[in-house]
Amino acid sequence: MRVSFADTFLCLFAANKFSRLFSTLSLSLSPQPHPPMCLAVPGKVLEIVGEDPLLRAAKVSFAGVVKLISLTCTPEAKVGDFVLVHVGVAISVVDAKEAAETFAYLQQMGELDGLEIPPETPVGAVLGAEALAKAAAPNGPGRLGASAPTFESTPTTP
Amino acid sequence: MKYVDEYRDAALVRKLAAAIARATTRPWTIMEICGGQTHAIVKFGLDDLLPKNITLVHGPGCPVCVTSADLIDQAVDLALNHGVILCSFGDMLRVPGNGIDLLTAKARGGDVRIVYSPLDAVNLARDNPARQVVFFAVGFETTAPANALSVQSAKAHGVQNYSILTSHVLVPPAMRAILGSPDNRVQGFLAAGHVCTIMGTSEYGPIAREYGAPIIITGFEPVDILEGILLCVKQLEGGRAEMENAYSRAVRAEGNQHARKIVEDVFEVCDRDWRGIGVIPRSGLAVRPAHAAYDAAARFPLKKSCATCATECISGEIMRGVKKPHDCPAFGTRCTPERPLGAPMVSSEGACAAYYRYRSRAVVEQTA
Repeated sequence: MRVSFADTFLCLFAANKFSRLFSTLSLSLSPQPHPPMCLAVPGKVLEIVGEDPLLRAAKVSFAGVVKLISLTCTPEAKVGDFVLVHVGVAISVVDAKEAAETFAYLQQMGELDGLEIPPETPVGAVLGAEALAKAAAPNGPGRLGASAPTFESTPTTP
Repeated sequence: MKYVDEYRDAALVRKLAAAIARATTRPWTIMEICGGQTHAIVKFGLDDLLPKNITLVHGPGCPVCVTSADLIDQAVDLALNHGVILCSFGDMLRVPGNGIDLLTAKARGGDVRIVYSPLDAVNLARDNPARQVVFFAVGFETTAPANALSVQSAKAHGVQNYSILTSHVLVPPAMRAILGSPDNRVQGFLAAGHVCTIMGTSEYGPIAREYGAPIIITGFEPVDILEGILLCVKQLEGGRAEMENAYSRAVRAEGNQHARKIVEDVFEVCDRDWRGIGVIPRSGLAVRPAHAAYDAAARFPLKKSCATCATECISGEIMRGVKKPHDCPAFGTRCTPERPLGAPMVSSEGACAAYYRYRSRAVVEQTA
């Protein structure tokens, strides 16, 4: 955090306009002051400010950090919706139905059954393809490569 | 659902990695376009989960990296010699032009400021009516609506001391340039999800068919990226080359019509010089003549230098997927985020910065 709490509160008291108050608050608390350019972060719409469609904005919460975000490109956004926000502008309302369907599809994808690595296998950035092959194909360790590995057998810990 | 944590689920990631391994029988080279995806891949070690015969190469989707040195020189010139308040996204400040970078310009007395949004720059112009405020508008299609909105907003509120220095680039022409290049090794693409959020999906089907390369519209979390790779591998193995949308929660076929209308109003397509790659026809956006009053290039007499400094930076080859960051002899030695030779080492979306941040040890071990 670049600004102390005392500074933040001073700024809050000094800010006389609503919008300024929010930009001050967000500048001092934003977890990502310089976000990667094409990154859009999902946030929850808490309250809509302004009825003019060109000036519509919303208080959007990003895991507790609240920013004032332009809704000019997403006039359909409602309180409770999640919007994808990029450099202060909401560019899309997250389609909850599509998300749930895709997620359920991924979770239940038939071809993934029996492929899960036992939880005791070390995972994370260090888990390489060989480790995966060993874990999933007990009789063919390290066979990933030109030949297709056999994953049909029940996975066991190597 | 908060649309972040669920897509970092370790069990699902393991399942998808195993499914990719099972689907792969031959070597394939896949490029993720967007620098945000590059960082997610390297940060979460997703490439380590893939079978050895899948190679991920990193694309040009880092707007800071492809902004020409010439434009950076113009921004420096504006800050130092025209008395303007030059606003920019933070990433842009350390990128060297042909001469100095914007941070050095700030140290030499230029009024260079970092903003979160171009709309903040308009507020700054409103608060400083006696000063000229210029926003360095870099970005892909994702950022174009916000930059266009800043021009519309300045116009609507009568803020006349605001203008933008535009370096907008477009993804589909770059994909064509990569696929059409004689040394191309990319066989399939993960397309940048948020670019498609704005522009929709219609441009990608024809490219996929024309060049025989599957294009999967992909999100940015580990589960999204692995799902994109799985769909891409399945198409490659099956001999298909189509556009598929694996990011349907944020991307509709028609894109965001409101955003596209705003972009259409303010910008028009132009040729653009991509740093390290060269001029790609009709690959950028410039301010329309109707809004020329808000175009810094029209408002200020800016010099166009044709000089390009000799540099050992191989960013062009990295962004076309021909080489990887650790193939560069300067990587991590003469080129670091503190003293970068080129933009990919600076930007939070640059491939070299990602490798330096998350992979410097692995690179040392590999070369040892």
